[in-house]
Amino acid sequence: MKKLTALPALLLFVFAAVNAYAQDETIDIYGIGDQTFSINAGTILPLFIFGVDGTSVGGFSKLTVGAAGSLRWTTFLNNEMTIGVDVGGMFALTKLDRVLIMLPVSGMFTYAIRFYPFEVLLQAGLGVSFTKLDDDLYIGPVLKPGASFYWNYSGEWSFGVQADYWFVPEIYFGSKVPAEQSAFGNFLGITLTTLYHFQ
Amino acid sequence: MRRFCFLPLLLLFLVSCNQSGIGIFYSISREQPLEDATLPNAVSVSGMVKGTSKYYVCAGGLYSRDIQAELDAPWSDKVPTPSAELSLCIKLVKFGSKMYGLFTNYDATVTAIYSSGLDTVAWEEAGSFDKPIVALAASGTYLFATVREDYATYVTKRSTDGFATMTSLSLEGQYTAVTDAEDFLAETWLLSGTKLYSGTDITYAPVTGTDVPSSSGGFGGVYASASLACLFVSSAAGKVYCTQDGTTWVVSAVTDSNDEPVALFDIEEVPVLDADVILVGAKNGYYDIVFENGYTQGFSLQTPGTAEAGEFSSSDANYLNIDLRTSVVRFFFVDKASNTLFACTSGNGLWINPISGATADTLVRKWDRQ
Repeated sequence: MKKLTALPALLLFVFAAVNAYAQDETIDIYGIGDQTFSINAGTILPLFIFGVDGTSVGGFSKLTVGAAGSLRWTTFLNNEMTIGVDVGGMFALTKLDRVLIMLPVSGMFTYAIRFYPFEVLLQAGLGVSFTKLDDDLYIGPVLKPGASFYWNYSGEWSFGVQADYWFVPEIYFGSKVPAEQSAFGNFLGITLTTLYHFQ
Repeated sequence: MRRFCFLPLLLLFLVSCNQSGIGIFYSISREQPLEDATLPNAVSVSGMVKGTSKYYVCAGGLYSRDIQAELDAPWSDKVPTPSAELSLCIKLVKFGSKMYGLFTNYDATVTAIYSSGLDTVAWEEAGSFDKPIVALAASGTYLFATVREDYATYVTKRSTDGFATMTSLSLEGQYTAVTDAEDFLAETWLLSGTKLYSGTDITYAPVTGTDVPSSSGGFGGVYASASLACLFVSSAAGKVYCTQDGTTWVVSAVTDSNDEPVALFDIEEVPVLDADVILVGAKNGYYDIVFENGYTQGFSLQTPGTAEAGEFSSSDANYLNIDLRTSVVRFFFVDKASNTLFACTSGNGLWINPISGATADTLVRKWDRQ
């Protein structure tokens, strides 16, 4: 019971220490031409697979929790908005121990909301996903909306956590694979992220 | 004009290089996990027999399992071989009320055929051969053993009494062992390398002529279907031949994704609902034979579990996701009493498919490992 009562006090202490440290830092205002590079690594949750035949199958019943990561470069358009490129990857195992691999390459747009020393980046990505299972490869669109929460350690370095929703349509027109086997994969990536800011 | 620049980009968004013919997410959403019993998964199965209460499998050593057991029931590797020296079983067949095994030592310098009852395993040497025995096969009428007289001379012997007495056959142009045999239209049909023989006496001539089974790479298997009144022959050139009268043949071929012929192996038959489905083993899994407008008009080889294989396919779509699809299926074994199908592979173990259900809605036809 003592441990529980000590927890809020500990959190308050950490917050106060971080805040005091942050007061010593110069608040960095990003401007046009500034750039960031971030590395993300963590897990990806298989949410569900939705078929054009109206069926929906829970992802956890068919796939393991997977590993995901990405590299992202962005450049600032103004103080709040950036555009950039995100190159990601994930893998997860199916019930038959087959390996599902997806490598999305996305153009990214982010909008930053700051409350120093923290900031939230709202982001949206649209790109191409290379999806592979056994000998089958599908190259199709991917939509990746998400958000990142950062703590600005310094003017250059930020650390945080990122959540990306992966919406991966797999559309067939019936030439080799029947059109009714078109389906939409839905995943949630949750990753730790490190961001480097430079000019 | 500028809007057309986006067209290639749009096409890039939808490119599929699909070998399996099934969508990736669709495949995952239909996937079912495999049961796996204790038989080693890497064995090559070269013979299978149903005994009184057990299945016996020849895969280097001998294995057994209770017939009534669950799918994942353990296999025993304690089945005795004839002797410590003759510890490798290279063929196991059933003939009459006994099973016959072709056994060898580790360097294949000693070979022998032994027989045993079907209830308990007690081996007795069957016949006396003074040359190495290289193959053992059975039709309904005869048991066949091929011995190698010298490097390029093979002699096939047949028997009706477990080789207590045997007769040497004269197979015109024989250059290798007889690997499969069937009775059809009061004749015995034998496969030996690139030759298909038929006859009733001890002298057999190869089937010749135009539009008759032929294969420079050899034949895979021969099967006589009593229900369809057809004899089927498969070849390494990816062809399946079918005849009802022994002279007129209907043929169908299968190729892989590179348009190369698929080597085919032995053929079997299993009832699915009220249809008799013919299966043919292949170097890449196996195929269902689907008849067009009745089985006398023609047929095609289709991958089980696909829409093309139809409602009477021998497997559900999970077949498309499992290792069996890429395995070398040398032959099948069917337990007709329980309608259980076994696929015997080279190097990828034994697979089981207990087919059950009286209607399309209740039909269960799923492959699992043994």
